Amino acid sequence: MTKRIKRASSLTRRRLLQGAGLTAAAVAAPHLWIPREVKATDAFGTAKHLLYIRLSGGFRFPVAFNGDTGSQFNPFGLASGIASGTEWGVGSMLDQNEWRTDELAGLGMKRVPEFTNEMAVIPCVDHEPLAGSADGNHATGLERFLTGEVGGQTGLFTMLNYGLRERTEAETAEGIVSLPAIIMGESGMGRGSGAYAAYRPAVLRGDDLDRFASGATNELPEWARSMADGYDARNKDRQNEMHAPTVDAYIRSREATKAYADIFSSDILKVGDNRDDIFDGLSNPQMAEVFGDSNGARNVHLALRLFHFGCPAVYIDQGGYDMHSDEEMNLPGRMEEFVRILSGLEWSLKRLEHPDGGTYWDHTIVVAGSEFSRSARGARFNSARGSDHGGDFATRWMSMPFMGGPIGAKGRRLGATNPDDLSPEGEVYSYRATWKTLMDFLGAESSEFFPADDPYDALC
Amino acid sequence: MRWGIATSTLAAGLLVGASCGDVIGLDAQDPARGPGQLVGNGSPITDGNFRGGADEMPAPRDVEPPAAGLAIDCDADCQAYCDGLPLENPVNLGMCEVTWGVGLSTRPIERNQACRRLFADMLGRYPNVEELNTVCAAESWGETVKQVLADDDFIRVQQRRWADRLLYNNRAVNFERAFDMDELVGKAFEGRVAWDEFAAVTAAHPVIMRRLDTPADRAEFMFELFLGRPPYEGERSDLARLYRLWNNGYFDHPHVGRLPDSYIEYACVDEDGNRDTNTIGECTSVLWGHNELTLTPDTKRITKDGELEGLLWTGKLEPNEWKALQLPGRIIASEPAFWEFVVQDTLTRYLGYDLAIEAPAVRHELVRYLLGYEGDIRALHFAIATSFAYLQSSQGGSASERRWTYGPYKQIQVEGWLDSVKATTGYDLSRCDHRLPHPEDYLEENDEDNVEGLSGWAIALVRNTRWDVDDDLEVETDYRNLARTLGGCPSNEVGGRFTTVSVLNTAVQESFVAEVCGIGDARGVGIERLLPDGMEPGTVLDDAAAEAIVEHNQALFLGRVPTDEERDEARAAAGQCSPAPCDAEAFARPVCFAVLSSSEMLFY
Repeated sequence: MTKRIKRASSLTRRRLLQGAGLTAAAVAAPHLWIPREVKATDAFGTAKHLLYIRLSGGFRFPVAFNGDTGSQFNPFGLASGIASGTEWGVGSMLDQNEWRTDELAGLGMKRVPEFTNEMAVIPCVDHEPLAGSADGNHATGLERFLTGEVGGQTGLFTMLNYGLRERTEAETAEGIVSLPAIIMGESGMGRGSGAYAAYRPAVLRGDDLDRFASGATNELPEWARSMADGYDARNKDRQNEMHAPTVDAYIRSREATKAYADIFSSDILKVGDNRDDIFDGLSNPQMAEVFGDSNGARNVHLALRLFHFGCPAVYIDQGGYDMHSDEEMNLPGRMEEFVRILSGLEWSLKRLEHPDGGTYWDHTIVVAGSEFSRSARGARFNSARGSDHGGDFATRWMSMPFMGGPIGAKGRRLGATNPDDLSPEGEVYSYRATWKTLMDFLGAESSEFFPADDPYDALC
Repeated sequence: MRWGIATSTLAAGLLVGASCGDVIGLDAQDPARGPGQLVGNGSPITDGNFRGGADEMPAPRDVEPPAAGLAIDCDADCQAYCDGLPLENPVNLGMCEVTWGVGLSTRPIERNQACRRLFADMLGRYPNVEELNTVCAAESWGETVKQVLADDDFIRVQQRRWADRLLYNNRAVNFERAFDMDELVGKAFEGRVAWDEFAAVTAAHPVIMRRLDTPADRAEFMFELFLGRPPYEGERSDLARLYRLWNNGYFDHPHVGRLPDSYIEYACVDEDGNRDTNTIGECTSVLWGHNELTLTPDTKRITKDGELEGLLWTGKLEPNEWKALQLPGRIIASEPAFWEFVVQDTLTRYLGYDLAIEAPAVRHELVRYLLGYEGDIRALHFAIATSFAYLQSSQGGSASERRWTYGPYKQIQVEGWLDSVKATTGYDLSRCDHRLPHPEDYLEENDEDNVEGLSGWAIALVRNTRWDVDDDLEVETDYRNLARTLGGCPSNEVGGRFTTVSVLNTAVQESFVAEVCGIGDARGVGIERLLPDGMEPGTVLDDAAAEAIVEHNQALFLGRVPTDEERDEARAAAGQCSPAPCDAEAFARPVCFAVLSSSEMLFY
């Protein structure tokens, strides 16, 4: 069999050998450029920070958000004791509170249903509104979540840094060092090449923070620092002039590391410390007590501290919700971390004093999404008591929550679904437009991206 | 048992393994499973002795070179000059008419500098001192390149590159498919699978099929992968019909639980396998000839129940069925642009730019050369690495837009930088395995997808990869965490690798080098690595010792001797070292940092 394949291939090659080079032809595609109006919302620049949480693996949204649907979509039912003014269905999975000890309740940490009137929920956020069906594939669904499209070359957080570049340049000119948007999850959120490459966000891992903070050159004797600089300077001078900028970029980055080292070595970022120093009104032990000690919790804690240094956004992966089996038994326990994070955010954001005035709550938006939602194909669970993902409405809609002071539509449900089949009965928002809306909140120019999708005012 | 050795018993073996938990066909030490096992099981398709490795760099014709910005026109005299040159290398042959023939010169390179570039490109790390004195000092440059091409690390570098392209991820696709694809890449770069055959198998490989959702997505991916451009709409929809049969599903692995994998739907035929005239159009491509792609249903092998009922798990495909499914790849490989793209892509990889844009004759010559060697991809790499487009100094000269008149200068990939630091200093750092980005998934108990919990088979699987696992069955992640922060060792949930110079990357690099060299509180590598042979750590520092230490570190890390200016600098630094008199160790550790953190380690 293998020989037959080889013979056919050889014949093909011989034919090509005869004609190689003779058939090359360039086909120029016509290109029309039509200027279009740049759209911005009323919320432009009203937020300073975004905490963007991915509920990883594909999250069954109706069990928490947009929960007032049929049991085939939300088999766990609705929570009770909901805050008045909440328009959207609060799933009982948002009321998983084994973490909520008397002590934490005494501190003022609320059950999530007690503050759902401070969250807006969009039941139908769609990765691809014009598609005939949902994209239930992990890989491409995640690509859409991280870049807005399949094969997207620019991550959403790269777009954000790029959209904020003029502000960053202005701050730099004034000698202000602000952290860029930072990824603490899947690095695809920071893809970028060409003009966008320089705006790729940093990818932080918890155990790598020390490396950012070390300020290695501070420990060097002056003669060694000069020696290190000398190697770079000579190398730059030796290279062809066309290559010199390559080396120069490295030289400049070495100079700038000092400023970042000062930030990353700051005590405020030592979220595991037991010292009671107060930063922005709360100590790290206080926040650690509220959020807990799980990886996801520590990431959220650190994110809030990074905001102190001007960081506009942090992206975090949380959970692991790809429960094809035993979802019925295991999801409630799995939700505990996320629920505690939401409660901890509500508690801490309203107590943390922002350097620019007010509290962090006034300046921060918290959003959760996923690569897709989940489906049991008309049943409450699949045969393994779990859920899957396919092409249906149940997979299709991310019912995304938006929380924080800048959100004007608190408690509101922006759109609706039919409880029987989850078909849309109101506005369907594109995921790309949703991201541009969030960029808009942060004051980032977004018109260069996704020209067919405009930011919208519904959340204002 | 390997598919290529006993293909007729393969499917049966898998069936036993999948349904009964028997380990036949499920070898933790060799988990590769897929169509890659069916090809390349014989000898290399050429003897590996490629021509064109010993050209002499020509002098430019004695004419005024064309002014900057003007198009280059090789007239009759230019053609005659080029025809008269004793050139064998296809790149040299092709670039003559835009270089030496029109009076432009190229820049000779010092052998060690060239070898450093060659090692970084082909072996993914810089050469050590011993290699500079042996491999790099071979009788001819062609012989050096030949030896490097035969190195296992050359295969590993190509495999890693294809892992990046195909985004191996054991959460997205059954890991056995990644191992199989990895072996297929290895066979291609060992010269055992011709490039068009490689494309055919790759274009219907489950490691890709399962990552994509629709036939059109698959068609588009293959266009990008092998032709370097997106398809026009008509091409996409037409080729997509040859991907109509592919479906996504899950395979219950008897040892590690549920894994995402590809399935085949018997579309466009009736239950007897006869073409269904009502639907056959959905499985027929007409843009490159009339091509129908269907498989005959086999009720014995199909999934009997559940959500995948009626579909065939690709692990049960027979060799003739694989061959049928590989039709799209064979069609793509029949396009002249297929060969032109691999030439351009490889040129860009080695040179940092596409020489074929300015010198189309280079592309023409390289396509002929590659086809002349039966599609043995090693020939292409040999030709470029022995050409004067590659074999030029990146140093000196003016800022010319004619990139081929001076040498390339690129940033080393993250793993190359880390591996070079490891190799030269002996620093203890674990490893990364691109075939299995999430090994911890098989070492964790109570995973909802792991039906059997922690299994001995799974532990054996991970232990047989390049990951280091400690006695507590924890994966050593020091290398991975560092590499991922810097852009390497990607997890490939979405395209992962990046190569960049950024402030935060630089901070991490400096911090790591400080740790390796033992700056501040860091213990660092043993001082004997950083001192010349025979020099004690407590040796009192004087000018001679300072020069010797700098010379040792430069040889170790940069593969070159110090310039006069660097010797002067070493002596001056020794004079400033405090508390005076310094000893050798107090001087050597900061010198290590200065050299190892320099841009010469990052760019080549």
